[in-house]
Amino acid sequence: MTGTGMTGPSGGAGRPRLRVLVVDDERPALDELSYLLDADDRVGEVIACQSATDGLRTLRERVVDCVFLDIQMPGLSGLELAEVLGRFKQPPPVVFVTAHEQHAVDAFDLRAVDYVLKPVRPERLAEAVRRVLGGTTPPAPSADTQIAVERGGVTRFVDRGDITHVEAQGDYARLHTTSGDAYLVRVPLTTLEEEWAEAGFHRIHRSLLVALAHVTEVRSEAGRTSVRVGDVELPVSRRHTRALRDVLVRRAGAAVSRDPR
Amino acid sequence: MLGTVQAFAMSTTAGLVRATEEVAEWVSGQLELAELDAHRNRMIEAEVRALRAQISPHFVYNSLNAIASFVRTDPDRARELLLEFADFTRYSFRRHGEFTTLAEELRSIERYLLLEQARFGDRLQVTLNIAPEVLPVVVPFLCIQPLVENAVRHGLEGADQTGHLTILAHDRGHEAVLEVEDNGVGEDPERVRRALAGDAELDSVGLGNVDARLRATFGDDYGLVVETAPGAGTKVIVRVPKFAPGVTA
Repeated sequence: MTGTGMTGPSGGAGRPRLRVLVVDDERPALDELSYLLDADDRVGEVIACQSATDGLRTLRERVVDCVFLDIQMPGLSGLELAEVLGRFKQPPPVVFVTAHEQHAVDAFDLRAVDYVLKPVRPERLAEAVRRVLGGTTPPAPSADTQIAVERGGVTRFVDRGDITHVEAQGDYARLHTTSGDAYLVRVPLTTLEEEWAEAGFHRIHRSLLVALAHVTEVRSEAGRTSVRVGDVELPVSRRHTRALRDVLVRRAGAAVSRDPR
Repeated sequence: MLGTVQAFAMSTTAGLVRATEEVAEWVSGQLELAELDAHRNRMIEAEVRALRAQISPHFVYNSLNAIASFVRTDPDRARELLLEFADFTRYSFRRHGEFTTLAEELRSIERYLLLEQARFGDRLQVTLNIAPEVLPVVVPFLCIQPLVENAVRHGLEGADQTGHLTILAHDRGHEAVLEVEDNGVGEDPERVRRALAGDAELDSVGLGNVDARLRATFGDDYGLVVETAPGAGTKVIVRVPKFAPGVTA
């Protein structure tokens, strides 16, 4: 039995409280992080391990809702452990807690839910827990949202969940779907951007919205970023790159399907 | 061209011309030397600045994080560590002087090790064995510290085992000999050779820097000696003359 989503321990009435695994090779750091997490009402149990190997051993016997990981550790590093966790059938969300920004990009690649810097502020840690909780609740089902589209005098209904990306065309927006079809609707892109933000549509370019759930790859070459949805590669403008990274990191493991690396 | 040398005499003789030429050559030679010297000093200053800037952010933030933890569990220790941290950084950020005494350098190293031991606990064992005779010896600023940092890192990286670190300083007649040794992962001697040759690609940047400054200060006979092999730990030996002209703290 390995990782899990929200099957955690039932912490009395109401919402089940999180069971958290904390891994850090430095005792004072481990104590502090365990203490701060334990003080959080949303956390039910904290399991502390002083090495990545111990962490893995624990995960073999116990189920946890999320993992807080130091990066620089002797033997198996935090990044390596996160990679192993990523192969679990249901990877537990990972939050990196580390002294330096240096590894932020790697952490992003590993779809970490959050990245917290040491020394740790309680408010910042609380935010990380919030992101873990946000990520473990199943993404809002949008399949029931049907969009009326007209083509050749026939009105059809398209599931919003099937839409991979939206392209601006003047006052119209072209909806691209998983089946490769495209439909024009008379709605400005900015309106869709606002109304569909909840459903995971994100602005990546002056004329593009992308459904984060359909993003399989983020590429970054010579300073230019692009995302892949299905067989299509979409450019991400410089202005939107940072926001996209942030939102992907936050949604990692939840809305974003794992890419075959 | 900086200027001209002119000789005034009633009549020109071959001897006078030659003498003038010789004087001009000597002066220009001296000027060149002075310039080289200034250039060398600038280089060394730049290197020390670079080294100072290298105080690892990991060390800084991990130390502060450990102190934050002790504030709750052991406030007295937290206070002590905070003071050590302040003194350690003050020494490392020091702006004046290319040289320091071994006493000062070693005192700073002790502080550094106290902070590291607070983080790693029993996993870091340190033995210091210093002959008091060598304490006043003058050495380049921050020439031992980077070696100790490398030793701590290597020592702890030896997969889950305890890092044993030994620092020895002994008196050898007109020289002082320092050894920094760890029982850690060791290193490929070829990579060490490249680090000493100044290959900045490698992560032991400190090694090449220290070696270059020791040679610049005491001559090529006084470079670092590194004994290591993968899995066999590392020993770095520093040899310095007790007195060298122009080398004062």
